[in-house]
Amino acid sequence: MNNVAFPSFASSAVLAVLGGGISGLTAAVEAAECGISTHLIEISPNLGGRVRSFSSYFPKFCPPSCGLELLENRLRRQSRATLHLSTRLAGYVQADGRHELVLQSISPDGRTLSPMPFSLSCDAVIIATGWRPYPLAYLADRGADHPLCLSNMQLERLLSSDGPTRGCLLRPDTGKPPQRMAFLQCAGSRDVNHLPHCSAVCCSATLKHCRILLERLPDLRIDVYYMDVRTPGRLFLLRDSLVEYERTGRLRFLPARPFRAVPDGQEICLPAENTQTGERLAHRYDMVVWATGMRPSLSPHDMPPAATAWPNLPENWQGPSLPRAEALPLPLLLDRQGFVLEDGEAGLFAAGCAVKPMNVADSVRSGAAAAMRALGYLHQRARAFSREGAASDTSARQGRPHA
Amino acid sequence: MPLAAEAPAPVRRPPDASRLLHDAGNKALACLQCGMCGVVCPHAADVSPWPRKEMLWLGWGEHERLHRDPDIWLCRDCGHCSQLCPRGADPAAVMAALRAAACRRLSGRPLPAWLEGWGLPLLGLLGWALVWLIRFMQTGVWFPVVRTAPDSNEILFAALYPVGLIDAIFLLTALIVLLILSRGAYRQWQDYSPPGTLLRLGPRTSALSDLRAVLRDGLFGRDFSRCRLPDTPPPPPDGGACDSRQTPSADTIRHQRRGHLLLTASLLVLAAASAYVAVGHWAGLLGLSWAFASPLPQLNPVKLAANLAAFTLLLGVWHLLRRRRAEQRHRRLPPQGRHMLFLFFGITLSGLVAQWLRLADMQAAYAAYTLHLALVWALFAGLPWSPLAHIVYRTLALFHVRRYGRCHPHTLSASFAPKDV
Repeated sequence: MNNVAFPSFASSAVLAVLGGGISGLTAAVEAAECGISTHLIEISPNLGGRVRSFSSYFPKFCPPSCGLELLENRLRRQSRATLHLSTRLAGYVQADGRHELVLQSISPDGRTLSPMPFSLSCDAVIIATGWRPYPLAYLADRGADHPLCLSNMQLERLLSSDGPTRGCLLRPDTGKPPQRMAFLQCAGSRDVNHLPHCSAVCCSATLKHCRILLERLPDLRIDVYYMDVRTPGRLFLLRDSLVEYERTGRLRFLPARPFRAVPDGQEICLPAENTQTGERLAHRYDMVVWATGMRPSLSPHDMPPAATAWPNLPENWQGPSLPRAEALPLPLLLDRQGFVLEDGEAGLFAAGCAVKPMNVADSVRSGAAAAMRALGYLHQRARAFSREGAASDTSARQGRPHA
Repeated sequence: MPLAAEAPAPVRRPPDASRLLHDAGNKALACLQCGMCGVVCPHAADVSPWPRKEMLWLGWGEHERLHRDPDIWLCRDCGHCSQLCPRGADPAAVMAALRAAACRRLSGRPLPAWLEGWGLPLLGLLGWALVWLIRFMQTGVWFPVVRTAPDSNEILFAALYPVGLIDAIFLLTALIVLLILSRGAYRQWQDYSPPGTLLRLGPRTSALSDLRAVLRDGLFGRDFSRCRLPDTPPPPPDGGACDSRQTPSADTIRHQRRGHLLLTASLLVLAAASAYVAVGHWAGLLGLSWAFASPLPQLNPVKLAANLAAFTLLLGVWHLLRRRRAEQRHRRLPPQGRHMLFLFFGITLSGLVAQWLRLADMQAAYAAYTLHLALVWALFAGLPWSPLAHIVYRTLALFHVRRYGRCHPHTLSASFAPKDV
């Protein structure tokens, strides 16, 4: 790449991106294409994060590899982008307004490998640590731990053509395709006892799953139990493709919230109240899908041990004030659910589902936006340093420059 | 439902609408109408279950519908809905606030704010102290004693407060309270009766047997024993984080049932003993030969029963306070209930202390007795606005539901379109 085309500050600035999911990947690619030396740090052995395990995008129903491939090719062409796979952030020091990251290689099961940790000095950091599915085990008091219950992420993986069953959905006990299925929306989301926020993607994901399942299994009938269907942007168009199924009665939307999945012989019964008609429902199903929501990866709540190499906050953490992101050794502020509040003056930016729940398209936009903000910060910083250098003011080097 | 094409009708805001929201903990508007509360309620009916529709009507300001809704009295305040509500909207507090508002509305002009809580007992105390002062000016002694023997200083409450005076004050208060309550019951019946004629299908039952069934279920706490989640799952084998931490424990429900039962039985016994003493006194006024005067001797069976009832009353208050303490960790409970329990506690304790001091011939007995009279009077005078008014209003609502059913056109939330299953 030709250095002359880039602004002068770009040649010396170093940017680190934490997380190689789709938003981190986008941020790294965009920054590197602007001439910044970019280090992409990913804890797992491969790029693509959660998007790689999806069955298809919505609303286009193309496989997730098509978007990822594009990004990976763009990354491969950049000499300025350095990739650190299977690497975790072990420590952090702030010195002279720069961020010193201590990185360490780990094995896929989370064990620390030699060689010794190495240090990376950078001017700005983009946090794109993404999200985790809310585990069904936390919904066990609503009966979600029954073997015929599965979460929407499990279903997503089962429907994926490279998934464990090559895209076939079968009942685990009889080995036959299910005849009646139910989707429970807002399972754990918008619930003060679990995740108080709306996870933004589950409604669209359920519409997508309904269409895939109804297309693949001609005998299947599906009920969707919802509080309200939230499909931002043009995702409501998904519903249009389901109208035919609704008309033939294979798909029903029920405004109800079953409080518990009650095992009933070989089936599961869902007692609920239809809030439009005021009547009680008790339908039976072969399989029940819980549309569980998104927890941020940095969430201080209930982080399962050993699932991540990051150290945990104490259990039952319920601080009334904003917590520090102790899961990452960074001077970050989180909100109460564990989403990152980015600190532009310190050069700490955030992208993707680390900021708030969002879908893949929004994550890509968020990654690009974070890269833009980081570029602006680096530009301001280079100008401030050059002015200070001209004034030969030594004291300013200790504080961080104004953005 | 058609979108609002015409100008919206002006919202009729009853004077206590904001107070209703405040009493419900200010969280009722967080309700998302998910319908979980009606499913977890062990009492709720299969058709238009509560408390979801009450939450909706409260949010809409549909006070007319709320007034005509007997379902608020079918809730037994077990609190399952509040503890499982995904929005923390506290439906049980809404139902309790609606019941308190119904008491205020049916009983007519509510008490002024300064009389709520401890204002009424203080007023009673002032009144009885005034009577004491007048008696002092009449008799010239602060602490009248009866000299049955030259060295005896036996205390006689009737020497300070004549029985006729006490009877007059309490009977007048009780008469006014009864009038207020019967007016409230009439209003309630009018609210629940649908316009036009009601066709009653099914076997014919007598009103008396219906009333008896309602009283039996209510008095012996049979309703509370149903306050348990249907199909409660067994606890997890490892006792992990997903136990039934959110639902009221069986202990709490047992405290509620026992406390209610003990309180009811004790109050019935105490009322019967008071009536017995009053009859003896009035017989004396009429000059009948079998008349007797208070105080009864300590070993009289009526006296023994009344003393025993005082202790069971304390036990019942203890049970209900235990239940409140356990429940208050999860949800808001109306403060009127606590006031009532402390009032019962104060009445029983002051009565027992007055009796002991009288037997010990100590003059402090007069002060304890005055306090006792003041608290009992406050209980009587505040009854139409206190949680005790449920004796009338809940019984009437249950009776109406048992006799005529609970769904009439005013309470249905929407049309019931048949759905395929």
